[in-house]
Amino acid sequence: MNVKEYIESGILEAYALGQVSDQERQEVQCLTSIYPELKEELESVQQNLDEYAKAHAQKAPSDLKAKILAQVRETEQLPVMEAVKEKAIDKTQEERLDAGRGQNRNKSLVYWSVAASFLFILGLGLSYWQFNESEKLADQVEEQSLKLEGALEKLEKRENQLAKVDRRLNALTGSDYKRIPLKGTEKFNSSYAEIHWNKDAESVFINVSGLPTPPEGKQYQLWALDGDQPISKGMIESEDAGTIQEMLATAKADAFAITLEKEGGVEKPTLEQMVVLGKVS
Amino acid sequence: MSREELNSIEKRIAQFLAEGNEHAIELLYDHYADALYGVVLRIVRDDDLASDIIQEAFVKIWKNGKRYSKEKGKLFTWCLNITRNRAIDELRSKQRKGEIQNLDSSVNFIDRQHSTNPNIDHVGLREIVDSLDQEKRELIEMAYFGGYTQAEISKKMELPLGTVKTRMRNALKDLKNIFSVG
Repeated sequence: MNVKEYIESGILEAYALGQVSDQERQEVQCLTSIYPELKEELESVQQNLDEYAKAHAQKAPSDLKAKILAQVRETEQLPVMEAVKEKAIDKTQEERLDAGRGQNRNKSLVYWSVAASFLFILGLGLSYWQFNESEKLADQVEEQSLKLEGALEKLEKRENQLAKVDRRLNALTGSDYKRIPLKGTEKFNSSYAEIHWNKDAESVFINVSGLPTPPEGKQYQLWALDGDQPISKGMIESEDAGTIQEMLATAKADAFAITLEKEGGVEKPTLEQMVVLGKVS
Repeated sequence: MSREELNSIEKRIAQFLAEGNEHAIELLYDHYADALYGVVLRIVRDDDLASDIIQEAFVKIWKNGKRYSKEKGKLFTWCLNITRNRAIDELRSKQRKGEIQNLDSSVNFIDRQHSTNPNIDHVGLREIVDSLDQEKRELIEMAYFGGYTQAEISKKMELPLGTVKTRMRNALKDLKNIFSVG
């Protein structure tokens, strides 16, 4: 990613001003946690706006502090996490109880006169409406808590993705990683790829941005050549999985190669379908 | 107050917040209430409403205090965002009801305002007003106090969205220069 271009786009300013969509907000939060330059720039923008705010200071009313402190003393703090969900469930139960109570209360009206029986029906109707409303509310609360659960799941997924991104980033920039360019064979001379290999950690990443989309039903397969023994190092997923992909652990290799095979891969590489090849120097 | 002193106070407040010590709010109030009140007042233009919002915001800050962490940014930034968001929500709901006047420039507003804080030792509003050209000032004010999105600003000012983004960035850059000189 081009950090400078991202900064120039003005998105950090928009973020600090609260002018971004939820998606953009997540994006900024994610990227600033990865790139220190972005974080630094964002902090500088925020600092700037903090100063701007302070320049507009006005004496707050003198009785405000006491009011706030009194209310704070009566207010419980929320626990660090999970609180929102629990609260939502409690509320559902409370509302169901309330709805039940409303119904019973109105039943006593039946002992009254004819005029009162009209009221009874009215009351019943009202109570039914009330019941419906609180059911609706309960549903809403439930729906919200489901959404929240979904959001938490997504968050977890994001965190996993982020960890992956971190590992990939490390593979691309870390000095423990050896870069091995894989050049296109004559038949596939416009293809290329690059291996990032950490021998000690046995981890292999591949940059697949130079591989054209494989034809229908075909998939690229990575091989490590140890002596003249080719060992499969896994299938390369479609570009949706990312241009940097982690492959199977490799401790020893003299060269890496990619062949174009049927989907799911083969046990022995089809040599005439070799796309790229690179020697470990 | 120096930046180091402020940092150490922020640290102490954050510690108190995490421990559930109400002293946190007292310290927060003493250091930040005027700044927050000034911002809110400029957004909602109503003293009583501004007081209510500040009160709600402080209670919210207290309630969520255990969830604040340094990764979320500076404590002041965090408090300011909570407070400003609350004020802008209020402004938006007033706008929906059609109760709001047009956003006029801070200059007029200040002139109507009798008391500004006399003992602030950082850059004052006058410097900002004097150093930023009017177009940039209006742009920042629309976003900051008017709560306008960039798309809304682009529509209102009849400028392409990209232009609004660039100008906003330039305006904030100018602002930064003012602060670093002052």
